[in-house]
Amino acid sequence: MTFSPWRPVLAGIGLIALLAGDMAPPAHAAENRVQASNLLLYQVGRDPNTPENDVTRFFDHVQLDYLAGEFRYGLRADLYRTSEAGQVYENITQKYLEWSNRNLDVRVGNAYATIGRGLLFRAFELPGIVREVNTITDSKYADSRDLEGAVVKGRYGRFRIQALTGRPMAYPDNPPGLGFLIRRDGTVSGGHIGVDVGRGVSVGSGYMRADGFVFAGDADRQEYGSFDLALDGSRLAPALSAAGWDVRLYAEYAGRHWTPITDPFSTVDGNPHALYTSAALAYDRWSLTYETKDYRDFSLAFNDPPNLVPELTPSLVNRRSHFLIADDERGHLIGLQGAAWRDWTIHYERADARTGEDPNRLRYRLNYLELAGPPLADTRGSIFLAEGRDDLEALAGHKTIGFSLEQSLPQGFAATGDVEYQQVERPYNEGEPDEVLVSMTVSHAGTGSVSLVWEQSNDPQLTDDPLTLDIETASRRWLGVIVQGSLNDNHEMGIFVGKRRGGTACTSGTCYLVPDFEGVEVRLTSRF
Amino acid sequence: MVDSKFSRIAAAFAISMVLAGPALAQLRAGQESALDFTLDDLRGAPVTLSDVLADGPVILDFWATWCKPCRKALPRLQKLATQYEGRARVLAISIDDPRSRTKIAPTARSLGITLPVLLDGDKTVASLYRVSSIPTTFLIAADGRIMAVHNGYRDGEIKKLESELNRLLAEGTGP
Repeated sequence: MTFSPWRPVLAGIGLIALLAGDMAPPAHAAENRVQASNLLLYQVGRDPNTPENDVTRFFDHVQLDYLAGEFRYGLRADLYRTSEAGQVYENITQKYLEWSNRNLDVRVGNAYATIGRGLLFRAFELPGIVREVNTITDSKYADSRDLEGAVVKGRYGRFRIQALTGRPMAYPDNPPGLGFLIRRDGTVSGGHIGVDVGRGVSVGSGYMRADGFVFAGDADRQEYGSFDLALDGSRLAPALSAAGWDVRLYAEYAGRHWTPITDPFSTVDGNPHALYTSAALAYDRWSLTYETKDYRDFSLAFNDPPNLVPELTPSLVNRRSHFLIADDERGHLIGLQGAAWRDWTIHYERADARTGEDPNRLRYRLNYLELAGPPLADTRGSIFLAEGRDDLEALAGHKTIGFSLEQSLPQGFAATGDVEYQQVERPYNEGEPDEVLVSMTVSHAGTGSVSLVWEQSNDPQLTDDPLTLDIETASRRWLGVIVQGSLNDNHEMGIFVGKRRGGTACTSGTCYLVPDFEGVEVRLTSRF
Repeated sequence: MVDSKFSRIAAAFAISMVLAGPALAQLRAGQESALDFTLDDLRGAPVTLSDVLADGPVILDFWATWCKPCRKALPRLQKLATQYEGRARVLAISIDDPRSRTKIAPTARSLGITLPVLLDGDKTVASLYRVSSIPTTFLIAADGRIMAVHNGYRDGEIKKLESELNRLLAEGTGP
């Protein structure tokens, strides 16, 4: 496939047109109005794991809203084009009508909702994330796992009520336009009612009915129930609060075909359930949190219970995250955060997960310690240590160390440097391959930033070139330059040039796979 | 060889932006009104934007516990809120999903944040304000006009926000 100069020219015209729009004189704001946002992604390059070169990809995601008083009508559309054999499409991906006031939100069409902490149901999106699929067939799409139906959320004094019905997105979601993959599966109906019973005690109960899901197996209809309890220590025992302490407890249990009278909170094998608990104890700027999970036969295709993996900022650590197995997983997460002195902070996380019949065998473990603060005036730094294992990522072990320094410079400039080093242990390889990530950024307040990101790895999982018959062992390197900035009040632009490493990426606790990329990528986000 | 269908789509997109640009540009910052919303704070008490605006300008900061630049920005926003107490307020809107809710209060505490933290776990308000990356910070005048939008956080960004706030307070746009 040859590269055509027309494509960037046409995209450039679109870009200039967007900017030209701002030169028009502003009109007065109206009570009823249209608002819009747009995400445009343009790539010229290749995935080094596929034979195609000079592939051109164009993705556009637009959202239009018409607002009239308490009503909002919205429309979303995605468009994808690629020069290689791929799943091109143009779809209206969402339509909704919403009415809301202080006490009630009613949305018909595509909607989002979470029952409790997501044990029973969670319809959500990852704003700004463009998912890519290069394995089944090339495609890009916005990550929106919404419910197509209706959602009502109400708050009346001490009561919180939520009701929903509709067709959820199949989970994990599939790209639009792929006719041979089920994108929406079955229907769900249910809701949740919560009440603040006073003195810091809140209780709630949820119900969900699922019909026509292909996973259901023994019955076409499945029913689920849940119960949750939240305690706010400062209201329950004001003396604690007066002494500066804050204690909060939360527990939620959900079960399939649950009979709460005869079998209230059973966690035995063979009883499909999910149990999540959390406790938080805080004093001054210090806090300790402890969370537990116990999930059995509870991958419902439309739920998303807490995975209890901490979201961390270092790239090499966060990449070693894991995917939850809600059909068989138990684990803990302990977190300690505090301010040591002045503005120095300490952050420790310990997470583990067990699965299978051997309760003593950890299939996931993470220990993370970070110290961050200002070593000098106008300088901010952090250093971290991490170690762990993750069977799902075929990691028998990993050890990571890194530091970051940010220096404020005159006239609104700042320079940042990050270095991360990781040793990994693969169960089927001798030795400990390592990975290095170095990034340097110069930024200017209100303008933008320029970053250089360099990575190297000799991990056998990454060094082999799948396009050759040989088994390559030489280190692989990735070097990329990222320029980001505000073009004006309405437009943010990012340009990537170089090689970008793919793999697991996690945003807001949700992990997904990103393919490798070599080339040029332009990303423009606009809001009007 | 140019893919003709691809070119038609790209050209149609370009033309539509030429035509739509001027019409859409009327909704620039400074002209756009902030949309009202109600969110629960960490104690479960509902907070409505229009009620807060009745006391003066508001800075809305969308953040999450796992976001490094957000964690850098929040202590500076806290200082700004303390400095302008009684004249302007800062609301920190956490878009952490419900699964990370346990981490929100501890993170705010360790950063020394006493600002009101509101919970937008379903990202309903983030969607209303078309937030596509975090942190995103809005400066809203007491009459509801969105005066400035800051995407991302870079060192010195809060100084810029402060000068915008000073300008707004000097204008004297009262409730």
